[in-house]
Amino acid sequence: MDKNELSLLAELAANDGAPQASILTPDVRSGSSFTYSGTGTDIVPAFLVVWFYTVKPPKRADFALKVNAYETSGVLPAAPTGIFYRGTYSVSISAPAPDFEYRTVWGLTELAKIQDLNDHIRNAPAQLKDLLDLISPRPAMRSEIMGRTKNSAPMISR
Amino acid sequence: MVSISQLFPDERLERRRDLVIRPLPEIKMCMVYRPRPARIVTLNPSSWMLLEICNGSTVAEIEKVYAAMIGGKGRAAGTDDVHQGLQSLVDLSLIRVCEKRAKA
Repeated sequence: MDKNELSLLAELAANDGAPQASILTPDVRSGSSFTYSGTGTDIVPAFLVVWFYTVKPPKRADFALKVNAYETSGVLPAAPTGIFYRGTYSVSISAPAPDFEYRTVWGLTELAKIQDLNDHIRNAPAQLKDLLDLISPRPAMRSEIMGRTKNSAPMISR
Repeated sequence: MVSISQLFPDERLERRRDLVIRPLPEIKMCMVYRPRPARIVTLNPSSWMLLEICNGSTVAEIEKVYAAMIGGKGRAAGTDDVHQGLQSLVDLSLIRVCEKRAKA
């Protein structure tokens, strides 16, 4: 790591807490697997990417403001990019993932657009970056990718 | 659990050479694969920084570099935090003492 990279890391560390290191405990889960065909529309995207995450309680009021700022900023991805912001939600009741109080939903017109979503996050506009900065890194964010059922076929157990 | 550091200021610490380090700055984390025995360890930015500056310097030197760099970004680094952070990296076998301190 060169001096510049170390300086960037110091920036991250300065905005974080005391040193913490822990062994990762694998959380292996199986899920239904499908293959997909067809594409979606602007109204009903073929795929949804859902982020599950939490925000530390003292930051939640600020997070709500940042979400609103992003959603009203006019910088949301939209047609013809093929990726769509579908909103950020605070979860009232969740039996499957009670540790994660927030969801952000993205729509994709086709699965290949996952790369464009990655690029959008990587080069996030300031309003989105403000929002991402408040997401807690622990417990680590989880995500799901869902395809429209009408386009899906089971990969196994046909 | 309270960790009491067993490191001394004049002990030299170095990173294991067989680690696979995968920075994830987007989520403010670094993942480290440590072989023999195989484990994946997650580090927050402060711990990741300590790992990066363990290059054979003494504990005292590492503390000084860490405090200067963090201080330069506007946060004071607690000595106890740094000691415990280093001890944690030793306990997880990510760094090792490469030179025993001289006997008194």
